[in-house]
Amino acid sequence: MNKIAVIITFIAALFSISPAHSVTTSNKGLDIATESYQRYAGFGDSQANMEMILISKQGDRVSRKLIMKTLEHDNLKSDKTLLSFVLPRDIRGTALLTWSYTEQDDKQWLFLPKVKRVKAISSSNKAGSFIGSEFSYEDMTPQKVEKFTYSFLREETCGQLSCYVFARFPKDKNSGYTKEVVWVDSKEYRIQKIHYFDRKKTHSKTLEVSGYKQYNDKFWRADTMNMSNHITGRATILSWSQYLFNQGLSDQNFTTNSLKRVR
Amino acid sequence: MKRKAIALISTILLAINPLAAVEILAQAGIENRYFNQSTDDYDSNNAPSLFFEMSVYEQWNDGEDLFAFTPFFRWDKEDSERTHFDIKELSWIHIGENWELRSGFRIETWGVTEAINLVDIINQRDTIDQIDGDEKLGQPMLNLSWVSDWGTFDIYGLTGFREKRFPGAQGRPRLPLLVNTEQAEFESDAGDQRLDFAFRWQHMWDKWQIALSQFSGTAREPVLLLATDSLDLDNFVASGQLQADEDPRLVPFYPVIDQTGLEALYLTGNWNYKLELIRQSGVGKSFYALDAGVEYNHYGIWGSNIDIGWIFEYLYDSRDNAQSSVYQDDLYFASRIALNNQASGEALFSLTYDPASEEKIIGLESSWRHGEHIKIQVDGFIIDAGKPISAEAFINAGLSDKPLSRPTALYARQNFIQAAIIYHF
Repeated sequence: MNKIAVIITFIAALFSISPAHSVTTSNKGLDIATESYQRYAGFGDSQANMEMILISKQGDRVSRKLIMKTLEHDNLKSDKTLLSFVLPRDIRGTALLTWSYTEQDDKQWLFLPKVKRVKAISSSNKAGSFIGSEFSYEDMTPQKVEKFTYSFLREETCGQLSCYVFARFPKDKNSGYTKEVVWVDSKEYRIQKIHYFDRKKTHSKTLEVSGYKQYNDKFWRADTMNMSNHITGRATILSWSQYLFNQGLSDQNFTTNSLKRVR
Repeated sequence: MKRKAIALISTILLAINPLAAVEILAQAGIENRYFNQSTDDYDSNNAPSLFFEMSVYEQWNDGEDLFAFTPFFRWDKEDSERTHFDIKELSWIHIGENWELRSGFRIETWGVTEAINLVDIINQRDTIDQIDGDEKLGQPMLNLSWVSDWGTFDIYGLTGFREKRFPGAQGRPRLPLLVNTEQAEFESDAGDQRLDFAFRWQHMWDKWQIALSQFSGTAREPVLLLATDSLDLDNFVASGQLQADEDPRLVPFYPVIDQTGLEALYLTGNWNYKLELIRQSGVGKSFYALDAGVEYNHYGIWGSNIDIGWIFEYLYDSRDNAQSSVYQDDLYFASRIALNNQASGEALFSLTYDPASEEKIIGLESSWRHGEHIKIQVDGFIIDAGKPISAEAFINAGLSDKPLSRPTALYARQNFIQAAIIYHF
């Protein structure tokens, strides 16, 4: 990226002008990310079951089961996510509520059923491991376009498809990453692969996404997400099932009161 | 109480649509407490116990009505007072558009700080079951909760009182004198039947979370009085000694109090600031108590999955009499470690330190999962406060209404470590 491009991007950000209007090399990366997010979003509300398989370096596996509910909000400027734990049984009823925003810090609450306590937690846990998995908190929810800057890299084949490859750079200083390289297929703009670069700028993790199916003739969702950690040798597989859209969820299902009675 | 509760169960069960979704969970545990300092007062240095808890959940009307039933039973080999049955939850929740009505036996937890939760007053704490205060007795109530743009408002009608339970002669940790709960006295003419009220408003904006609460009713923490029929007081005042055949007892006295509580939480990056402040009136002069501090969290240390949190809090209590809290001017340091491994290993180490008297309370709470069903917990409790306080010194402090210089020494030489294996069905 040359110096002028940097200045233009900076000014654009300063005046909240959409950088799409400025002619920079980052432009195409942003366009692809925006298109990808727009095709992913617009579902109103969604729900899915998730099995999380933690694989140790030695190949030992343990499984956790969760239910994820999402509500889009305020013209996609914010959304609300409720993750509830089904297995293992000792944490049944534990639930995490996240209100995420494009223009301010996320809000998060954890309900601990054993002590019946709703605990507000700081969103600075972004880089922390999500319940012992190789996914961090920031990997668990789809990332808002506005939370990154972009740079387009290349086009190349990825399996049977052809992919756009772009880099995105987190704006949030609490992010555990300095750079993410994203592969998006040129046909449906679905994320196929992400290389994560940690704070030491090392390629530390790779996410591979597979088994895309289309729901409601519109929304593409993956069956399997495989995150491997190249530093520790561990991996986590997320296996998704029973996707449901537009079930009539509302704000009322995403309050700290509803958090206490999630089953 | 038990008879009333059973009648309520059958009424609620009858009202439930048999086609509704029922979920049953249960856990059974075996626990042993090991005390490393033996004294002649106790038969054994080990206190094994067994416990069982079941949870039945049911929802109907598209989840607009919920039923929960959580009975709990513990058997303790050494202390018959710790052996007990309780209904922690037997409730029906009805959900409206932005309100919910909760009725029955329930547990409510308020508070934001780590060391103690001063504001948390709805339920009686079952400190004889677990001394950390996390175990509570089910409180019968009617609670209306309303969520609005100006925060969440809760009003409570507390329709019955749960007395505090105290250890028996073989129970540890305990005070130098036994408490005779059968002679419990109440300030209210209604005794343990007084209808108590509570209110709480909670709101959050940006990085702040604030709550204000008001409680008016029978105190959960009793004042412990000396049962004068259990000793010859004149003789004791004259000689300062108990007679060989005297075994004085304490009786709980439950005053009616008003308590106002403030909670504040400010979340900013890795630093979280916390405050709990109460003002309570009803027993003698009104007083203030405070727990305020900061927590720093480090996520993924050295590129690993391990999270470490550091907590520092200051504890204050304005009372200067025999009722004064153990935490009258103390510092609390703690470290919380989450290994984020397959076994979800976690531990919390804490040190409460009184700079004036140099008393120390050291705590450990840790847990480890084995496979899908088994959880292993190891907890420890150590008090470093010098010589134990004799029954005579304890009575003298009460008679003079002066605070003890080292109140934690009441529990000196009762250090223990406990391990529990819990199977989740």
